[in-house]
Amino acid sequence: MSRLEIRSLTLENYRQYAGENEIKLQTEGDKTVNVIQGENGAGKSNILNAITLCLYGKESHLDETKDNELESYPYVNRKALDEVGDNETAEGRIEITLGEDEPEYIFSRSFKTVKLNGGGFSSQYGDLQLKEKRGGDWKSVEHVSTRLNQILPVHVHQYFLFDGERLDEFFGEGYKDRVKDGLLDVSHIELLENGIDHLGSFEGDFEKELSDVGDAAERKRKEYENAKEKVNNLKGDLDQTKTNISDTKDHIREIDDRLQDSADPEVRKKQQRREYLTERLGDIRGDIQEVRKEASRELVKAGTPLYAVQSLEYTLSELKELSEQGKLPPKIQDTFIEELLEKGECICGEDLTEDHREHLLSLQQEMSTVVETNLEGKMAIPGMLQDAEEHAETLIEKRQKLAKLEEKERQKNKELNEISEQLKAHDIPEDVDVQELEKQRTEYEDQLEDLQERKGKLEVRIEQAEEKRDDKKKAFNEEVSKEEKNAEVLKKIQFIESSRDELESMKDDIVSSVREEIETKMDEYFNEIIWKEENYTVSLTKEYQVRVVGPRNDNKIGSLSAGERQVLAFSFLAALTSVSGFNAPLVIDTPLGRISSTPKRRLAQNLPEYINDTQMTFLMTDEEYTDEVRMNMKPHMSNEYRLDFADEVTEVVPYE
Amino acid sequence: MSEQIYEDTSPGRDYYIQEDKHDLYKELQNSEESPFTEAELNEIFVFAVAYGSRKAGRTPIDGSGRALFNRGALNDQTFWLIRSIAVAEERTTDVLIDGKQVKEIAEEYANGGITELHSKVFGPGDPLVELSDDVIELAQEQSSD
Repeated sequence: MSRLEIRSLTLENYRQYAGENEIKLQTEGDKTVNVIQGENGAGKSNILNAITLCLYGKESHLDETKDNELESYPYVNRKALDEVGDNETAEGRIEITLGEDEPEYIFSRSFKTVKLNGGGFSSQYGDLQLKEKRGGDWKSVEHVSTRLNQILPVHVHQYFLFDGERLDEFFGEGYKDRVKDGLLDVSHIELLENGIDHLGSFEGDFEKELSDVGDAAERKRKEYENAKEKVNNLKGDLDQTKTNISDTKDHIREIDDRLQDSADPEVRKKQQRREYLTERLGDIRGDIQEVRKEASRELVKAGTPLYAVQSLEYTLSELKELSEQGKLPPKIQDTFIEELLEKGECICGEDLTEDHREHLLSLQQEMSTVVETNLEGKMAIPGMLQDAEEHAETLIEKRQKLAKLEEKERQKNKELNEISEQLKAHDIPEDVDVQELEKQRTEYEDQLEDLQERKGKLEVRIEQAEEKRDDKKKAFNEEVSKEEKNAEVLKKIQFIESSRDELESMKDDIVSSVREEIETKMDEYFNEIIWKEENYTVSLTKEYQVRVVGPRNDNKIGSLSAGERQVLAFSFLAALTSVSGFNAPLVIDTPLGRISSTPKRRLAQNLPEYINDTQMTFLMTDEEYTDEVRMNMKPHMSNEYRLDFADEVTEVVPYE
Repeated sequence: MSEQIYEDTSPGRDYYIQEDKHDLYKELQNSEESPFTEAELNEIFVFAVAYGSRKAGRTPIDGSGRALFNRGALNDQTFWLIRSIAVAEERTTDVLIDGKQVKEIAEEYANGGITELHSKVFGPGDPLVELSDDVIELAQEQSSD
């Protein structure tokens, strides 16, 4: 199977690379891996930078902590700049040849640096050029960015061309946004999003066509616009609150993990007891919610007739009185009239005259409208009161059950508070500051409670605001549709709305299925690479929260080591590249940087198999590229280079 | 007994509430702390009629009205509750032929009742506990009669 590869990378006078340096990277068969080894500062990161500068016009891998002298490097190599005078310019070029079975695209970008008076430099780069091989000839491509977007779009390149050492930052604070962006980036939903945006702007245009609608409609339009804005603002608040809740929970989990790792067995025991109690408390609260719902249903059923009991009893007594007075005849009389009419003869034997018939018919009519109804009431009211009594009895039972559950909740809470107080008073010096952690934990718990209350209120407010918005929209539409020409436009708007809803639903389905696919792959990769003997479950929630659940059913995301976070991020990125569908090469700088020896070996060994049929170029330090790692990678290796750095110039030489 | 002569009228299709009280209904139906989250709007309305008849009194609809539900949503027992409120109000069963009047009485009790009920639910204390204590007491009074 063919794969799109970087067949060669040419660096001409770029940073450490003086003169023309061609690095051949074409791979063969199953040997999909290239390694370029170099010490820090030799120019590994600049190979990655050269690729992103050439393709996307930016060096996305500047690293202040690693190559802090990088900023002082101009684009053009220093040696080349030494040969030009002040205010003179030196030039350079980066060229990338891409192709599957043969060279197909040559991307190139030139750059220049002006040597300024006083020792400074000013660098700038030119436009991206592309030549494409068509029918054996190389032809210049006009719309270069369009072609590049088909190969590896700018928003996706960061999942193919990245710095491994930075991966451990990926799952730091605010990671959910990065996960969400990654997932959306590889979901190929741009077309749907464009469609949704396009329909949105179309709708806006049509709404503008509804101008000249008169003051009343204009007023309603403003009300509708304000209502829309209110909904959007509230939704923004809700998103932020949810993020805060999730972050606060992560902080609490992190503290719990640290307490669990305390050297003091007493602290560990208390923490374990707290975990058990918290779990039980969750169950009890679930039961309380359920019983409250049941009691509420009984309250509504019992309360309605009982609050109206005086009216019901009064009416019943009135109906009974009517019945006693013969004004509410028993059911038999209705049948009796019908029989008389059918026979046409009175009980005295006399034939019924027309007058008699009319009288009987009017009696029957009156009974069917009022008396019949009243008869129903005479039966319905006692039934209602009887039901009310039964519902009230059930309500009493539910209240008793609720009281028992609430007592259990109080007991559990009391014990939890005692644990917290004991931990706050813990003054045995050790590596984990138990007192301080427990104080922070209490603060986070309080914060969480406030946030959850806020979330609940916001959700209610959003629902109300949406309803108001829909009402305002309806009112506006009603007003403008009074004009026939507007009615036509409104029909179009409604059509656009339903189309947009359809696209939104398609988008949700796609994102949801991509999320599930990424979750499965992430779980698989993480467990393959991670060194723990226990099995971890990695999940990716709808809210883009990543959970790494350990054997104790606890989320470890907040307490992973730097290496573990790097493995997790790597698993996520590998899952992204795998499901992205882009057949693009991977270039990873410092891929094993913070990973300890066992997973390092596993990663080196298994990576080519995880990511099938993809060219992988690793830029590795001496510490990473140990003999063991090299041995593990050997079966998959196509090209192996070393960077020789001396006198501010790097030379790329084949590995011996 | 009332001397009023009632006309035979149809109640019309929809039950109306005061426009600006719609939010009270929605809040009672949607808020987590409300015991009415499982109830339909028509059930909250009838509860408000009954509650209003006991706790608030008739309050005419002020300003514009808004249809809350269709009478088809009510069952026979609920109709009798609404009719009973009208009979007790007018002190005669004669009112029952005047469907419009029966409905209007219910709407006005609901109008007073919903405000009172909303205050109760969102006021101090646990609304489920407070309301169910009240209802249980009514049931006990009822069974002791």
